[in-house]
Amino acid sequence: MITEDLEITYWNPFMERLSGKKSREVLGKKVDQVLPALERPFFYSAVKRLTSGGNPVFFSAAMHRKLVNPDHRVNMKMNRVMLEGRSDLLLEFIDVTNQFQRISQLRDYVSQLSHLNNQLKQKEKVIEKLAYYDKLTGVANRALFDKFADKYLSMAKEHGTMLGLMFVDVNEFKLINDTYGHNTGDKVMTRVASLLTESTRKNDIVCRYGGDEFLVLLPDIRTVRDYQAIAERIEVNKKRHIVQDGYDIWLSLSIGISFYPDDGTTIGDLIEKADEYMYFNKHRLRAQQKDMFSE
Amino acid sequence: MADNISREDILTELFNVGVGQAASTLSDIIDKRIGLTIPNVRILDAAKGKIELNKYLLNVAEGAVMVSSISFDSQLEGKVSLLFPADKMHHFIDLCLHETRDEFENSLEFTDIDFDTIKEIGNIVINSIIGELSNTVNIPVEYTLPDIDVLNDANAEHFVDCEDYRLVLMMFLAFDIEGTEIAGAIVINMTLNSLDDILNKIDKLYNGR
Repeated sequence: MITEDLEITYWNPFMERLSGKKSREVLGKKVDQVLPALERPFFYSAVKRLTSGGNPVFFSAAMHRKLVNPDHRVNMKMNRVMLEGRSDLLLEFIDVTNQFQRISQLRDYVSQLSHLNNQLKQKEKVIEKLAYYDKLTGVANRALFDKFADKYLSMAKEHGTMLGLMFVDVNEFKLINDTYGHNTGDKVMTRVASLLTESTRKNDIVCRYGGDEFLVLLPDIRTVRDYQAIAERIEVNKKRHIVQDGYDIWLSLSIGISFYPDDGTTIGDLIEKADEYMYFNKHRLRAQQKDMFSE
Repeated sequence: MADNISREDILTELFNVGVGQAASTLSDIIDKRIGLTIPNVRILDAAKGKIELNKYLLNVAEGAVMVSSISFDSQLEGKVSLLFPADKMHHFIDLCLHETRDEFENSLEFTDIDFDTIKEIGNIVINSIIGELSNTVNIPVEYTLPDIDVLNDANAEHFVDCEDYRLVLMMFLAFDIEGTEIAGAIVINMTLNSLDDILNKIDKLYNGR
């Protein structure tokens, strides 16, 4: 309790504990001297308003951090009370330190949860990559191919478009492995995957189907020209010398392509047909090479 | 009508003096430059008051508001509500407390600490407006500390009571904390008798009638 002149008239045991100052030390002193945080214009104008109007005033612990003690957060309410015909001011301090601690803990938990959630999302991405992408070449694996093959086939049926399926085989890959080693062979395989990815469109799916075999799904083919543009880009790269690990390696690809609906109505039919065309082209190439050497 | 406009102008000036003091008190507390202005005060009947308030709720606050309100009685009788768009309040509170929070910036979840902060701001702003009015017209007003609430689908019915021939004093409050502006609204819903008392006193003070 204080007088309108800010002189302390009552200081209860709670205030003794909160401030560390005994009642006998503070009685008769000015409250803004005992609690220096109150030595501010806003406090004096609040006292003036309260004294003249009598309506209560509230100070929040959040906006006034060190009202009484730096270790305790307190809200303060001020009311005018009439005592023995004299009006005094009642300053009510409410310790809300626990609230601050609880909210701070809660924010820490939320922050930790958010961090864990981000980690989980990253792990999910890794798991998805492991589940759907070929570890060596980074292109789609068979699981992802199956997923997209069904989707693209349904779209082609629905929109009346063609779906192309390319079967690609690296010629004499066993020889490359045997001659230059498996490590170099793996790198060549990665180069082939990159070559196919760079030659195809954004929505085409390049998949490593087996050891040295790739499948490429070509959705939304409306005319032969759509396919030809892709084929021409692959054609440029499919027979050439590449330098890998210091070795000059002759890289050649055999390719077969089938189309829905002309070559089949299921993905199985299309793979079978494309595989068949690929073998035909491979044998034709071998025959051409044989003729060249015999001449 | 001419009388009506001049009364509204006088009230606008009165309330701006009040919020000017509130801005100065708040600046002292949070140690930041604060601007508080009331562009104009409108005296409306309850039906028109509801239409204007619903426009604010729809356009500025999108229906979710944080409300700081007090009821007052004694010679004057009514209710004052200070409204803020709820989705801006985390940022607003952070500015007042010199804090930064990334998470839940626009959420409508508030802690007791947030409520206490708005309670203090509401107390200062409402005190300044009602205090200035009460002092000028020399009519005592008694009230308690504001109640704070968050209303998700607020509409004018929450703040304007049509009974007892009530009128509405409606004003917008432009709150500016170091360049960040928040558009608040103040609705004073009071009995016709109370407003008559105020306006008569104003007439006497300013027009000598």
